[in-house]
Amino acid sequence: MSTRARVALGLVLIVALIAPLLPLALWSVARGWFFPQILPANWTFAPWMQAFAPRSEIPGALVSTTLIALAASALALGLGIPAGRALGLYRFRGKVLVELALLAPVIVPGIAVGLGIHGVFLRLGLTNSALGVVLVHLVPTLPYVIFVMSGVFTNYDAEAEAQARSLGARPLQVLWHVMLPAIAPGIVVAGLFAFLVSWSQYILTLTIGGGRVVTLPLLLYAQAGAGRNDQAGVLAMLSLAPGLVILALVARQLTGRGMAIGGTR
Amino acid sequence: MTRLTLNDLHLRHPGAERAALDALSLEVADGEMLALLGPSGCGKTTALRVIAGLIAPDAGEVRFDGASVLHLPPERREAVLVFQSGQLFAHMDVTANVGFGLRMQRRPKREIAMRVAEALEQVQLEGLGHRRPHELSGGQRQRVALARALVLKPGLLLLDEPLSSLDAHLRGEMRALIGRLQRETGITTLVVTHDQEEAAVLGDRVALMLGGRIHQIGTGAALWNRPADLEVARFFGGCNFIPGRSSEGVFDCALGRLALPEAAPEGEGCLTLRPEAIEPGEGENAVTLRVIETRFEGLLTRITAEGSGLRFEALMRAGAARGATPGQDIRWRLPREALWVLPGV
Repeated sequence: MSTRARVALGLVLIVALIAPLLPLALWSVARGWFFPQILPANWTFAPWMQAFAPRSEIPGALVSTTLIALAASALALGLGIPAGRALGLYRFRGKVLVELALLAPVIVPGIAVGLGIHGVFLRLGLTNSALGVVLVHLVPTLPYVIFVMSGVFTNYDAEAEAQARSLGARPLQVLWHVMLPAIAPGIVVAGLFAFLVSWSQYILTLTIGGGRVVTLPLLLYAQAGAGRNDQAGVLAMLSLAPGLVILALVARQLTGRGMAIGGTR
Repeated sequence: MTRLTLNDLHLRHPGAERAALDALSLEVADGEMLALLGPSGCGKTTALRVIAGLIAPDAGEVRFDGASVLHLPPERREAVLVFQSGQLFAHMDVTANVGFGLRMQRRPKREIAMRVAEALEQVQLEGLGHRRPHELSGGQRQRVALARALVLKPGLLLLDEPLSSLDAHLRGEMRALIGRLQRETGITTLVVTHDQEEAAVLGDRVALMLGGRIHQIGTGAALWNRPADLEVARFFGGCNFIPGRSSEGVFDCALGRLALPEAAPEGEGCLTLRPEAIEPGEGENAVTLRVIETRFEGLLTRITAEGSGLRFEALMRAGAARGATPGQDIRWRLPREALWVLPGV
């Protein structure tokens, strides 16, 4: 493909991805925007002021969404790194089945998973609580973490750990000084994935949180459903922010070098 | 420094048919450099890992200075293992790699810097401390790995095939460096290799390991010329085995009576001599043979000859081999000093 064609294709892709977001951005700063106007007649920051007004639910939702996403991704990393290590480093009986089972939550519809788990969490007293929401967010986030980390560990040479032990490092020192630095880029990518997936959960938050745990996606759906385009626009912009920040941070890691993240080989 | 004793070690890897270590016993004296020689898969690397504490044996004892170390984790043993690949930590520069072990011991920064500089000087890598492993050549990486172990002043140094990843011209240099450092530091060293020449040059003694146990220990020359059994002789390229009987310094076989060196084993057995030991011409132990085949092998020519139903292989330099053409009768001398008897074979 010629350079010119490639640049053109890139532009088309960018426009196609960004175009749907433009009206949302405009709504968040428009006062009255009716057909057939191409741009809003009057510009205003009122929707933003309203969103961050003392009585608004949005600041609280922003904080709880962030905290839940942080907790869920930390937990997903805690569970997913050892699991990814096992899958990436070792061959064992039934490995394919384990991988399939781990992938299942990504394939099975969230509503089915959510309703099933709701029954269990009800008995455990985990419904309507932030803790329950964090736990249920593991369902979609954990597979991402495990698959990124198992890829990282396939390129990881565990012999480096044996060498470190022989040089006098205790097991925890090996973990900290040898394994973590080698897989750090993978941890960053997996953690960001997990954060974004948790950040944009709707159905699972709604079923387990029961409306008590209010996150940005919940407000976004509510405002969009109520026809409040201005508030929906603000919420959409807020929801987009971490994705854009993260994309800017890891763009180098995701392009060009493919998924070759970390590893020692 | 440390004296190493291996006592009747047994180990079978899960799912493996043959034992990796089969009644392995070995003693390495304080300050000695012992070469553990064997073909790939003979269990020599497994033995190193057991000594280093990375694998536990099924049975047997590993003793440092007479005291069992089996209950100690690798980081608390006096031994440091240098892996075949060098295993430099890719995210650290040379200085950090060499200082790794000292940092794990939480030594003061000043002491670490001093000892690292000293170790880099020992392996002639002064000034490369800021390089990353991927910026080094294979030989330099191997030297960093060596410095990283030496800086800890271990009682026992375990080297796993330290030269196998190097080009031929670097091997000699590295071999000399290892030998010099071992002499200077006096660290008890066990070096594993599959290369006979390397073992003979590096080791004060050579231990030949076959099928998970030691078959013979001695100087390089002893293993070459005085093999303990048929497998040892075969491993060192022995190909002449003549059945007969040894008694009172002579060997009776189909070719007649041959004079043996002193202290040759007595009884029924096999006479063996190395192919390169055979000389053309008359003298003691001269025999008449008919040439069957000659094969050019570069520096040497391999000549197969037969007499009285016995087959001999000889390796000769071009000049000595010139007379031999297939179908021709020749006189070969089997030097007394080069003969050895493998009893009971």
